Amino acid sequence: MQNSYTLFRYLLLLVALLSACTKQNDPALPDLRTTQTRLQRLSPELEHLRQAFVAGPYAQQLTVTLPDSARLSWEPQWAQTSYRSSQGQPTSWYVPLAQPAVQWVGVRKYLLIRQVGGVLEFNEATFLFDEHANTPATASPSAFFATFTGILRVRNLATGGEFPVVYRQGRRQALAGRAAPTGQATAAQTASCYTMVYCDWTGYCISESTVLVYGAATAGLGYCQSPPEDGVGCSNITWTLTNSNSQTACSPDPPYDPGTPGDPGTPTEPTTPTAPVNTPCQGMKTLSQQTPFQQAEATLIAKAANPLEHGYTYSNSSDASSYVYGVQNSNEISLYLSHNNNMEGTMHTHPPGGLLFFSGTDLQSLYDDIINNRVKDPAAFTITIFGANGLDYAIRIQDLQQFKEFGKAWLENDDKVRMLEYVYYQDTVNGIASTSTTTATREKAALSMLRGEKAGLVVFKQDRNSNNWSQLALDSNNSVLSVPCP
Amino acid sequence: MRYLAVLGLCLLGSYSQGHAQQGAKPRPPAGTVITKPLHEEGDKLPSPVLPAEKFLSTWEWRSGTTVFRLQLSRNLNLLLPNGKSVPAIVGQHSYTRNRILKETSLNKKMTVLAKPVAGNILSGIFTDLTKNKSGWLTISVMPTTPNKMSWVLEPKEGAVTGNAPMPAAGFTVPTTMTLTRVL
Repeated sequence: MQNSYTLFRYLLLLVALLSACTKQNDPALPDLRTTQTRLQRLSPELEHLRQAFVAGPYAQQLTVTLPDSARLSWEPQWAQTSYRSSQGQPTSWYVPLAQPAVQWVGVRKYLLIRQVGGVLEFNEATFLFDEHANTPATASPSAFFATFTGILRVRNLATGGEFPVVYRQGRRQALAGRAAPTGQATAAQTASCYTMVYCDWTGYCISESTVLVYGAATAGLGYCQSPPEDGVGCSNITWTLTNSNSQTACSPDPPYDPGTPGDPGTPTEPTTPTAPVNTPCQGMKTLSQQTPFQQAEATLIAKAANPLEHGYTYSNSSDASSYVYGVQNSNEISLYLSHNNNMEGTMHTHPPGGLLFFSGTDLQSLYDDIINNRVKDPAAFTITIFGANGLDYAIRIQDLQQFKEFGKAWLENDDKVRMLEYVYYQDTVNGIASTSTTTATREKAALSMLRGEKAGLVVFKQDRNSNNWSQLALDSNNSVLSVPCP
Repeated sequence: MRYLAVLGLCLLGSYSQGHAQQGAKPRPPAGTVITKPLHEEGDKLPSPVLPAEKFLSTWEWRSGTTVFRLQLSRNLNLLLPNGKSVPAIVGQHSYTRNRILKETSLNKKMTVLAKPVAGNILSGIFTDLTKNKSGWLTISVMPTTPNKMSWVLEPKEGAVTGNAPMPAAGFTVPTTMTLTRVL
């Protein structure tokens, strides 16, 4: 009897999965491309944020893996973004996250974007609450959060670090004197360490003809318990732990005040027109519009058919006199570029028949330049290649710490670079060095390497016909996405 | 401690009440349920398993008193810098020119790192010990003469900045050879 029941459950799951497969093009299930189409009307500021999000490794962090290995992605609803500001400048943005395939119980999620020292920080903000003790979740965000009672989990999507904030009736609880209007921090509080355990759960509710999927999240000191089996009005629901994360903290005070969302587009404080966020993509566009850069580029493109590499270093992209031509190593493809300790970038050719992307040595050279302080500004430093086949790529550093860690692992010496090339380049089917596959496949291989190894780098590609650069990234379907630099 | 108490109370209150409402009004069906299963991030189609046995041997090239010797073996768990491991074909070599040993990695270090990319072809990286540089390597066993193997070594791309001395051009060992299986 038990076996029959189990078989019946799996049959129902199979039916549900098959029906779901037919919904791949269902407009009710947003994917990145449909979202993009709708986002054509976003403000430039939001568009910058969206591009930075897409280009980074953040979307993959916003997924839920179900017990049957299906993966669901939380999709940012950019058009419903609310933001907070300080002194007229936006300092954080709340973008609602939607996951329509699952009925979430007592959970609201937002993508919390903060601007910290000119750098964008992406966080997942999960509000956990008792639905019966709160304003109905269907109310407007401002009404809901004005009386919010529950816990806010803030997880940094780059570092994985997480901290909780407790709210009661819309007010942060007095955890320490610095952050809350009431209460004073004590030595005992400051010295207390605690371990919070966060858990995500998936519940399958099997009815006569369908399998309903519920999601819930719990948290606790030292452990987290599963959601009650009858809490969603389903008489036969089984909760399965799909993800857990424990964090130990020794300060009772959250590192910053995350605030709460408001209604879409409604600032919590008066704002003035905002300064655009300076993204790597914008920086790439600005660089490519410098006349000396374009002149050097034209010289290199004219030499790209040469069997040897040619290149420049430059210390001021807008000053032609700072461009120094490379030293050719006779009969070698590789190129030695002179340098000073104030470089803004390097640029070189890749000859016919050669690699169509940056070599391991190119990445190693970038790492050497960074750790030996040869660059003026790591965030603006750019390496560029111009290929004989008409493909031009550039790389910039988006996360310096990540890049240093990637470099220490893979670029620190020649043996490690050889390993990198062996694993990611030497594969005639899927490798970066493949000559028997498509440009898109090679780009996917390169982007997969950089993302999988958390290299902290962003890649750009030029359309020579228009002289426009676009940022390349992998979307949630693992396809190469090209976003023009604004 | 006050914080811990507040947090604990809040958590207990929230989750013992929020999800354990006996007799709570049933929620309407969620509508759309379960979505398509997705591939794992970064998934690639698995590379076909190609036979490597034909390469695993000791190979030699001779021209008068100049000898190049290559030992190829299999490492099923080559440890990578990221802590993962992959299978690989690894090799060591020696090069004697006019009876003078120019360089050898035999019993010392791995100087060939390669993988089968087609039935009779290995693709990999060769390390020149004398010039402290590496090159792209392609090794092909000849189908009609499986005891013969072609060796093609090509320079690698790369623009280098820094203070390291520029390596000498070319490679210490011949870049094209036909090796013969000797063991």
